[in-house]
Amino acid sequence: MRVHDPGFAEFMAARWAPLYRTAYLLTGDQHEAEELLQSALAKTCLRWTSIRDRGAADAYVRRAMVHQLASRWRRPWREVATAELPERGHAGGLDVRADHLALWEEIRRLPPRMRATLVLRYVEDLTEEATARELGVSVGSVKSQTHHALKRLRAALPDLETTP
Amino acid sequence: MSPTDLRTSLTSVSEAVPVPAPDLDVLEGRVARARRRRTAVRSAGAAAAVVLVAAGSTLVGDRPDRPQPAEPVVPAVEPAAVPVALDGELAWVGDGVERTGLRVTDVVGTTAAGTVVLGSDGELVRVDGERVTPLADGVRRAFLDGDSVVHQDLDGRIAWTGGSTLPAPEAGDRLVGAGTGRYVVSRGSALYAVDAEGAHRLSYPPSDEPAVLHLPVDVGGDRVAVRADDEVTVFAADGLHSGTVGGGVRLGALAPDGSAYARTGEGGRGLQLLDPRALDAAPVRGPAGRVVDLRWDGTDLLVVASGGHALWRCAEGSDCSELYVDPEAELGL
Repeated sequence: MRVHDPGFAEFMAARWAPLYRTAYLLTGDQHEAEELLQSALAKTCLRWTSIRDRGAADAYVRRAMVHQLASRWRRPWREVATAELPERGHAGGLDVRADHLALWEEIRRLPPRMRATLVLRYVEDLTEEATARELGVSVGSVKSQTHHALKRLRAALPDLETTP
Repeated sequence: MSPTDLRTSLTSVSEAVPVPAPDLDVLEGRVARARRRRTAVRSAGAAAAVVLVAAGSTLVGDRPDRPQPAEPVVPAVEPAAVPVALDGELAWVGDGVERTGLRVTDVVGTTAAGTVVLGSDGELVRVDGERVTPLADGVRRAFLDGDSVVHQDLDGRIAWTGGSTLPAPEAGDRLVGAGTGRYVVSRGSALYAVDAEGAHRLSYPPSDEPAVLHLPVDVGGDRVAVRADDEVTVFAADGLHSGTVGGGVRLGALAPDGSAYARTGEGGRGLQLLDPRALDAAPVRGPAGRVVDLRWDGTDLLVVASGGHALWRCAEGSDCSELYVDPEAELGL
């Protein structure tokens, strides 16, 4: 299987952008997002012939991205909240509402696993059980990560609580 | 701040981020590298994998107190690499196989600082990437105690890397197992579980026969499991006997949190998960054939099956996928 093979190339062309957006939310960094997605797509390409349900290929790529990120989390000392963002100010260039930007800046500061939990739950619309399976953790851990993430965000952005 | 706020913000950010064009040449290179990493061994093991899956399909069921994992809608993705002993040397198996050349007799386990292994020359080392840090020499056996390592040397001394606040062992104690905040020693003709509260004698063996010194002992959470004569006996940490299960327990391993005891099925074939409290067991779908080694790696169970030629990884002990097959390899955990 090569990346130029018609089936895979078609899939890439159609799904690159939405998958990149997911990768960006998972990593919080554009360069890391591209790296992560390229790596996940390489794995997908190798297994393309075994993916019978091509409609599920998105889920396969997403799972590959999450597994790759999770391999970093397995070493707890690497999972740290980001006090200094690697490309601070970059997100400010996004053309989004100020309150959305402020919230995103705080989400980027969350530990990666916590951020991924929010992305899977609230952007990918996975259930707690499905999120737990994707992350390789228990449902209790998903609940706990979500609870602590929301608590941190509410503490960091008290003004948003009163935003209509 | 509601889930809707989060969803709206994240969606709006993701839609605003500029998307670079895919670089097909870079991707082609990645695919080629990934393909090279997939060893020829994996291909050679494909036929064996089919046999294992077919045999495993007769073993259905799951641990009763955990949610049944849904059938995957897509093929399982290569998980993170796990340390194993492959033909006597430390190797990482995951998205391919990386041999390190480090001769090992035992993979003690993984801590926050790296993977701890016992070398064939009795040197205890920690491996973190390419860095190998010596921890102790002349080590006979070692176990993890959280992120510390408790070990006993050839002279009988028991020590912890980084020290310990647990009551000190007595002279003549033989270290037989350890877990977070607890270790087990063979003292005289009895087994003792030692924790912050002191030493608790385990009522083992149930008869007055002298305890065998070389019993495999596992410590996990507040449980201690002792295996002998194809049976496993589970104790609460205060030494109280919890129960004994037979049925040909050739091998077993207690989860670090004490929530499950993985054991071989009848005749050492297949795998079951035993509830250490209720003592009921459920078969695990996946690993088939003769199981020769088991080790918990956090919440994952690693299983060497098919007589030592196949490595399985079971998330939460029951969601199993095959990592590696090589009919010629000798795998150990």
